[in-house]
Amino acid sequence: MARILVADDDIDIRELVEFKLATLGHEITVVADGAAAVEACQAWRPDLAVLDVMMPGVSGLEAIRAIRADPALAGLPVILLTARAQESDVETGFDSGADDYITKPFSPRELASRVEALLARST
Amino acid sequence: MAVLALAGVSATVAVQRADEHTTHLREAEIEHLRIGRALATAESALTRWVDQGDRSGLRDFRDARVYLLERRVDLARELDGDRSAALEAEDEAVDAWLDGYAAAAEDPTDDATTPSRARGAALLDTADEAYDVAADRLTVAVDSAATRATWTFRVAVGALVALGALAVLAAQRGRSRLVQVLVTPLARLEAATQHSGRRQPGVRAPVDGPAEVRAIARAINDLLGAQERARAAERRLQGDQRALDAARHDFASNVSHELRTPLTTIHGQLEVVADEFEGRMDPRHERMLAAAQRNVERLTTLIDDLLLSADGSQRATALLDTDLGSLLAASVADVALAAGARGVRIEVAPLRGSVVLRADPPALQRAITDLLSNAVKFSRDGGLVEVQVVAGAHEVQVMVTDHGIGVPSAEQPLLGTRFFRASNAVRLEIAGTGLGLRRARTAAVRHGGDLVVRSVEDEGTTVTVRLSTGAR
Repeated sequence: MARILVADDDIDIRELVEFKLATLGHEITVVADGAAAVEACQAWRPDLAVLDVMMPGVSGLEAIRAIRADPALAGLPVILLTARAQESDVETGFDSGADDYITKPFSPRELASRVEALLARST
Repeated sequence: MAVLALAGVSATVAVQRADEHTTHLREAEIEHLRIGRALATAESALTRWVDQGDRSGLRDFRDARVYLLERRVDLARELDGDRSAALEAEDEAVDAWLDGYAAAAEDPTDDATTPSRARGAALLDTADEAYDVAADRLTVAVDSAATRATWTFRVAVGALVALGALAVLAAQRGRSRLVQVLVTPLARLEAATQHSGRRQPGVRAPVDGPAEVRAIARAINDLLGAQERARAAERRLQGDQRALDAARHDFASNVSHELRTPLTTIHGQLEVVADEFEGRMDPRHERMLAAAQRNVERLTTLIDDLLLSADGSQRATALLDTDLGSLLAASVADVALAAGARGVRIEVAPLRGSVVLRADPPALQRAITDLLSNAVKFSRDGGLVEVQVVAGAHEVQVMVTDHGIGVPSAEQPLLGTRFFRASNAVRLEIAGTGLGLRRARTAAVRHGGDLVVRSVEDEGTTVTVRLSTGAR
């Protein structure tokens, strides 16, 4: 049982991720953009965040930078959802401080197993 | 050069004059000898007449006298008026004998005027002596003239040689002055072109020095200007190209995001439904759900192909030392699922040792995966795909062989053109975009190699990729 923040501007993906992770027994908060994600992390203190890269306003990458800049959130595990499969983008994802990334289209099963693995590692 | 020619002509003239003078004196000497012989003939002929009354003697004496006087004229002509005092004395003495004795002896009838023999002999002796003196003088004159001519010749030759040497020296000095005049402006021209070679803009050759150098400088400056304009155009084009590349990359990213997001949703929702209702569905619903999932995956592959061909082909990438064996293993793993589903076996011939080449690993792996994927797709169910690697010092060949449907020979030239698909593949509804082979060929070329397809319809296809190891 962990607290997981999900940020994606696409409502169907939000629902899908929320549904899948909730069935595993986690507590989920969903937001629709990067700025809201950073605020939610600071206010709600999740155990893990799943961030979409391409979001209007503050992107997932910018949100990670903001999260890592906050000493209280520096150790927060973050998984990036990216539509980009190009190597340079993957590198950018890791450089920005993500712990893992999943390229779209992804399998909810795979996302769930990555989430569990990351949670196990961080506790 | 003109001076040298003038000197040459003068020397020639001098030598020629000296020679002519000598020749005239020699002719004069010969005439003088003839005069001596004529005098002797005249005397003996006159004696015959006086002593024996022989009229032929008188005739001979008169002929000899005429001859002698003619020779005297010739001698004077040869000497050109330059008669010595000795010759004058000789002429006087001979005339004295001719007039004082011989003239009277011609006519012996007039006894009163007949001169004494003794007087005749004395006059003749004087003439002979004068003759000998004149002859000596002439010989001396000829010798000294000959000597003078020889010296004139020597001096002329010496002068010519000296003048020639002077001319060579002058030419060298002139050349070194010319070199000095040319070298400084030419060195500046060279400096200007070298600056230009180092791509320093605005550098121009100074337009000075001799007219020829100025002309070259102007030509070089025109060239430098044209070169700078060309470079500016090139930089603009490069900028445009970079902007275009960036735009293409952004476009690919955006399209990718827009297309994958709904696909992710469909894919995930199908999966969740399948999980939730597992074992509780009609078999026909299960089949329909499985078909929906399969088609989503197919759509994903097609989108990947399209986006890779739109974005991936032009990006410059760093080449790394890459182990071909592990690359092959990864590619085989990529297609294992698709191959397994249709019972197609993939056999990789064991590599002899590790094969390392300079490569862009993702691009090369994608290319090999494309080829393996094609080989599996075009194999019949339960078929065999063989992979062989031939490694040389500078080149590695990867051969992927299937025993499937092949490509009709008429269509083989079109293989590898964008979006081309063989008619039998289309007829058999084998999924594809007609991009994989093209992408593999592009990758091969970027790795300093090429790609060759050998195919027989209904028998199979071998694709050979040749790659440079990057070893030098």
